[in-house]
Amino acid sequence: MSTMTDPGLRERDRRRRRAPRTRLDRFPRDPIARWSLRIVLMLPVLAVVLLSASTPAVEGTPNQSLVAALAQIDWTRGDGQWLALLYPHVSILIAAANPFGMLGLGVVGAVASGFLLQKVAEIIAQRAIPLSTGIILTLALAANPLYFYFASENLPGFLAFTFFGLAMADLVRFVNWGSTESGFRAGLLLMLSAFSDPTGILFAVVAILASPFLRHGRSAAPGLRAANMLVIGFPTAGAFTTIVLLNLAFFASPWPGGASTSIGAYPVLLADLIALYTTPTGWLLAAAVVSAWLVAIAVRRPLTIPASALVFVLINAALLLGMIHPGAAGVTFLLLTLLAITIIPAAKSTFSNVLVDLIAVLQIGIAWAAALDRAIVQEWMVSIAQALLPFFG
Amino acid sequence: MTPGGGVREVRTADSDAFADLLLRARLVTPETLAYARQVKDRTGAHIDQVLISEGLLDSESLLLAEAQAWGIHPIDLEAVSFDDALVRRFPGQTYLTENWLPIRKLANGTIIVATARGIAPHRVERVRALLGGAQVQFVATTSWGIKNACLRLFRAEIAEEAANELWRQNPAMSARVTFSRGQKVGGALAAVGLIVLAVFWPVQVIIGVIAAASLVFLAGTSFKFIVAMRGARYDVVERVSRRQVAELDDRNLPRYTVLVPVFREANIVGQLIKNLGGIDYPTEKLEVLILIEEEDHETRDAVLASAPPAHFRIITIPKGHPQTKPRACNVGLYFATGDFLVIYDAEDTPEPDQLKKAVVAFRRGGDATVCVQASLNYFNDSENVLTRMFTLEYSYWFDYMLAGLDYGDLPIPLGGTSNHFRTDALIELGGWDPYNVTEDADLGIRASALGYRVGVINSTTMEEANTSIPNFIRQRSRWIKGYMQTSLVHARQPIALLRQIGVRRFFAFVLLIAGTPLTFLGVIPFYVVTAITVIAPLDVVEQFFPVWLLWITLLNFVIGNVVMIYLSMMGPYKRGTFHLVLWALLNPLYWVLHSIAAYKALWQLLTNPHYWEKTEHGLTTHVHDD
Repeated sequence: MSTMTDPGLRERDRRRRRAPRTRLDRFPRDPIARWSLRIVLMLPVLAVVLLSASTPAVEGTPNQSLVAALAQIDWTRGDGQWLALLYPHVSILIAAANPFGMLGLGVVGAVASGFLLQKVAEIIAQRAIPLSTGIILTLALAANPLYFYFASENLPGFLAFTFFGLAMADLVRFVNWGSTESGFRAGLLLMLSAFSDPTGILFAVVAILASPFLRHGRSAAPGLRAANMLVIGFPTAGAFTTIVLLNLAFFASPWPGGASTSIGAYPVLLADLIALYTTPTGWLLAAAVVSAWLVAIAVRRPLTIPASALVFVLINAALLLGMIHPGAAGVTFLLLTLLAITIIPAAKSTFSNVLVDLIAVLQIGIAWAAALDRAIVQEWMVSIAQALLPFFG
Repeated sequence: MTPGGGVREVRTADSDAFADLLLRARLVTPETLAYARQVKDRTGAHIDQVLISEGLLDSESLLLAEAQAWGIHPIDLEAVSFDDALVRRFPGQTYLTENWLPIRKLANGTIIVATARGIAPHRVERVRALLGGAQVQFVATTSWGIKNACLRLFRAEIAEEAANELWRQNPAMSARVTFSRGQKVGGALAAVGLIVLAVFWPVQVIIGVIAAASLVFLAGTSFKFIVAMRGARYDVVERVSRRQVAELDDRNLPRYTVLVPVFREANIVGQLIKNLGGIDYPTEKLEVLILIEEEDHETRDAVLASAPPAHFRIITIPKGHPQTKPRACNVGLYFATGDFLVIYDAEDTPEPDQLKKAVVAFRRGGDATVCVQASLNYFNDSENVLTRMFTLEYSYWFDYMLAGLDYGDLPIPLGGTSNHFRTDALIELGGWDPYNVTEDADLGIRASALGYRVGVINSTTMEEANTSIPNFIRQRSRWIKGYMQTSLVHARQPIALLRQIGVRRFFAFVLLIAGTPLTFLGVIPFYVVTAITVIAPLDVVEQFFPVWLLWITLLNFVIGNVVMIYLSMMGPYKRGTFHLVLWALLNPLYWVLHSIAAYKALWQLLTNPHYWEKTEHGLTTHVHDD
């Protein structure tokens, strides 16, 4: 004999899930205004993309690798091995459909940027974060060379990042406000992220591991956190598992043709990674994490400290496993900043708002310092500056 | 439980004289009468209705009192010999509607007429006029006395009407004929054509069949995913709030009929009475009709032995073919007096305020809303793996899929129970199709085809999930056969259906009703083909899988499986049964059961289309703890 599970939600849970309209409303609510905002927000990156088109391309960027990979693909094949070779599928398919080469990839990045920043604005509006703080947070994320380089020169990574950002907005609504649709959409967006770039796998893992640290709208329900993690991660895990099973069945290899690092190489890579943190580059990476911790303390959400620490560990693991393209820059900084915007709650006092503002300003400084620290970003900045010169005589 | 007490029309009971009569005859105490008056003030019901429905007065005593008040003799219609020719001058429905019944003609030409409504002059004149101006001598009876007499006298006609009325009204909408002539000819031509093509171009035919099946699977999966995601947008929305229910005035509530078709379910009759006894609705405005097949003495005895409340009534379903639940429901509809009507299974436990929520939904939806469907879920979800999978499936279906269909104003296939109807609209629709073994799904589609709206309400009826695989296969095969029947019925006039409901709703119907059996039929072959492609040499496989087909099948394999498992995970979210989420991973195995049931259904569709696979209830060891 046993008793049935309560068929309805507890009243307390219902109250928690009855979010004010601003929590679920899109921003701006008017579709025309929303699209206008996206277009406005994509313009800065678009301008940079158009400028960079008039200068010699910087060598070794992820977009160049993508174009090179695309040229290797035999489009007459359709077997399982070929399916593995197509990875990352979303970026490859977009690149294949793009007739304008590097310029086209940059334009797609600019469009993605418009969507991402509009979603960031939506998150800020839904949290009722003060406008000034919202603007500073957005500037901390986007008003730096790392963001522009990322959007215009690393389409796979930026698509993964954009899908991650969209997913995080949904994830918050799912966990905090019990919006089931948002949760299932978040899972799908994370899958798209993982199929856009290997860093997307990292992003998906970050989202899965971050979800228990969010404030849950239905904390009383047993098994909720585990169920949420499963829902968020299942599409990514399911799609990869299915492909791996197919590969194992047909080719006796989980990922035929995939590059692999020999076990013996890891100690060396680990030593390199440790050495990185003795340099300014490493300090700047760590500074982004420390900023995230400071924000957590400012808004009295210490539980997010282990979350950001975990993210940092995962980023390092990704570096070790070679999941991050050598030409990529700013992944750590942008990921942690976006994560901070999406998962921390609105600060409740003026004092904590001011603290968040100050930390966000500090982030802007870190971003510029990190940009100047990376040779490839420096080179890209120089090329953009050269393109700008004719406009300033 | 005895016949009588169908007192809706006995307005005499409003009078103080009648109340005094009851007191004088010591049929009620002053306290009882005072209580009845209180209820009357609250609900607007009449004193006699209150007394009967609350069990404070038995129907025989009421009959005696009424007869005395009207100044005529009472009569027991069970013991009367009727003049068959006289009775058959009018159809049974006339007597049920007007609450009188001719018994026989005396030698002097006077006709003895039983009445359950008193003998006001205008009524006497009307009855006389209908009987050709003959002298009339009234005797008193009750509404249920007339109903039971009609059931006995018009037994054959009622049975015939319950079975064939829809077919008579609109043969194209009835599943009495499984395949129309056009479908037979078309099907035969298609089969011959396919065989001929397979002889000459075997590889191409195999490729074509795999491609077609894959596309159906992919389209069906995508459709369900899109619809369920839309439904998920509203899982926290209370369509009908508690406040709206609380604001209902009992005086203005309509009369409600609850139909409970039972067959060989003596073991759960006690539970039925307990469960339905918990409905929060004024009993004066509620009639529960328990529909029992004529041969099922065991269940009837069990009902009588369990001493149900006075508003529970037994309707004996005359023998007839097909012996199906919808035929029994049509008989119930024949006798129903409610403005609204709902069906529950014997093991159902509806949420107490479900009827009131339905009333709110009907009032809000206007006349176009012909039916509202409540959610179904299971109380024994954690009993075994099968009940967990069943609960996951139902949760996704009722909480998300139907909500999505409702949001998109798409045709909603009704679930087996807890569908609430406007009674007059249901009659206009022709009632249920007794030849269709998922008469509920068919009715939902038929209603949509005729421009009515079917909605959903946020109320749940708890049922018993199947605990055994053979029982599950039986039940599921019936459901899938019913979907096949429904598809065939509505495919007879596809152009007309397209015009009636529009392209969007037409394709929704195709993907949902026709697509579901096809998808299940495809599961085992797809698994087999996948296994063969793994075992067979690559060059052989490549022969049957050109690049484009490989892509479709890969998409199917990845998207189809992942998405359908993912949808199942959605199911527990509305109700917070998160312990079920992980079990969704077992869906690929669960689909094998569906596929087996689908082949059984296909076989039965060809060999025994109207056979009703009975689902056994009461197998669970769990109890529904209210």
